[in-house]
Amino acid sequence: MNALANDQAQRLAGMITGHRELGAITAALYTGQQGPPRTAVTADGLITDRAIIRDSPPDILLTNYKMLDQLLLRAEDQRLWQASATSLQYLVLDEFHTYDGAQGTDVSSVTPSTRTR
Amino acid sequence: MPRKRRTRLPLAVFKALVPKPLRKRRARRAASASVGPLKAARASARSASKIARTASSASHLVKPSTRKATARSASSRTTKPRTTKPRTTARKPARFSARGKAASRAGKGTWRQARFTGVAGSRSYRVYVPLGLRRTTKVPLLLALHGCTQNGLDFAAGTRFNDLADKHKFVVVYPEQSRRHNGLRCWNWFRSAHQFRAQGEPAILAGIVRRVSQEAALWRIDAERVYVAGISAGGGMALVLAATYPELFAAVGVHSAPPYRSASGPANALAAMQGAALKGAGLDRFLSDPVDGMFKGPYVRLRLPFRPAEVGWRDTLEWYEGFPPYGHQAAAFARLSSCIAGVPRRPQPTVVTTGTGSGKTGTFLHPIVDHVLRASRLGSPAPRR
Repeated sequence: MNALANDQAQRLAGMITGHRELGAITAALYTGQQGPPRTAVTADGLITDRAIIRDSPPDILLTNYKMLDQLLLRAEDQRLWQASATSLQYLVLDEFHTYDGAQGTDVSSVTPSTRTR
Repeated sequence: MPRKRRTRLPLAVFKALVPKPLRKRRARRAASASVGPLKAARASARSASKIARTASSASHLVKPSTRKATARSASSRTTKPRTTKPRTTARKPARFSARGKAASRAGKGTWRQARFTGVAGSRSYRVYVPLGLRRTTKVPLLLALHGCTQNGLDFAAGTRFNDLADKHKFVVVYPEQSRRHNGLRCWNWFRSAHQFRAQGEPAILAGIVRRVSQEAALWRIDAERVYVAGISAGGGMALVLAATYPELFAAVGVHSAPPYRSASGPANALAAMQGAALKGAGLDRFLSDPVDGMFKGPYVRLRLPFRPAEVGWRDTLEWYEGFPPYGHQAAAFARLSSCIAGVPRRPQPTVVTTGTGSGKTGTFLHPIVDHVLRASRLGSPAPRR
């Protein structure tokens, strides 16, 4: 589940750090994987510090549908949605063709709640 | 080398290239200790005969009686021919009498012998003129390249090209490798001195084709229907000719031969014949080299091409870095951009369904980054409806 997110996080980190004009863009990776929290975008990866993600919501957030569900439900994560209530523009579902069965049902219920938040 | 005009000749040529006599000859050679062919020659003959066995078991191309006819021993000369086919020995020049019987069964026409000398060197060749050829009729030309230890007559008898020439009316040219230029009379397909245009044997063979094509007093050759075929080392040289003189030949027929430039000298010729080149860089080069590779023009492509973006795609994004996008990527940009040509607008819901390696991630990553840059610059979040 996280392989795709990690892969794209690497690509995005490379893109942001590789172009000066993109240096101000904040992007974060929010998955269930544990590791030393990163507080800024570096060539090694995206922001993973959860406190920072909550307090200053990133421009781009990479996650998976399980963690998105948690973000939508947990009280301490609500600041993220308040801050992006009017600015959230894109919701990207990669590998969309894999979302079928129970997993597809999960995603189909998470998607509208993200939109209405 | 696809050309517009095709005859049935290439197929007939291919069929005729299945050589039963090769198998016989190999058995004979193994029996006689005096002739010791190189390992290399033996290896290629083995692979050739393997194919020949498979093909001939399912076809009627080579009749047993005519196979006998290729025997070269003194005893066969005195043996009465088994075939009941009428012979026209009177038409043949006297100097071919030694092998005349074998040759006669491989065609009812006439032979001519000549020598070509050009700047790249000199080789002799034989021309088979089919029975009943009219000098005023434009006919195809087949350049037939024998294998190692063979000469033109052997190759004619083994392939029965001359019977086909009688039937379909085309001129067959059999160039002959000399012992001086290769001890086993192999065409030097494996030497880099004979792998390029205007050098060595390809230049000589092309010169022979050009000369024969211009001998209007003897025949009229249709320049659009000149073909080259060969077996083993002759097949290797046929590929060299196809690669170096593509404008000369409408088609190439090859049996049991390694790819063009799969070897560069005697040291790696054997490895090439055993297929080493097919596993390494040789095949890569053969398949991918735009100049020397097998695939030319729009007819065969191994990688599926994506259409590049059309002019104007750049208006959809303010920021873009990287390779010029494909058409489907540009189409995604146009739907997903939050600002087209300076006018803010709401991105459209979009599903991208192209395959692996098509740059799917780029289709959404670039519009998002472009949007983020604009949103931060304007200081206010884009309106959300």
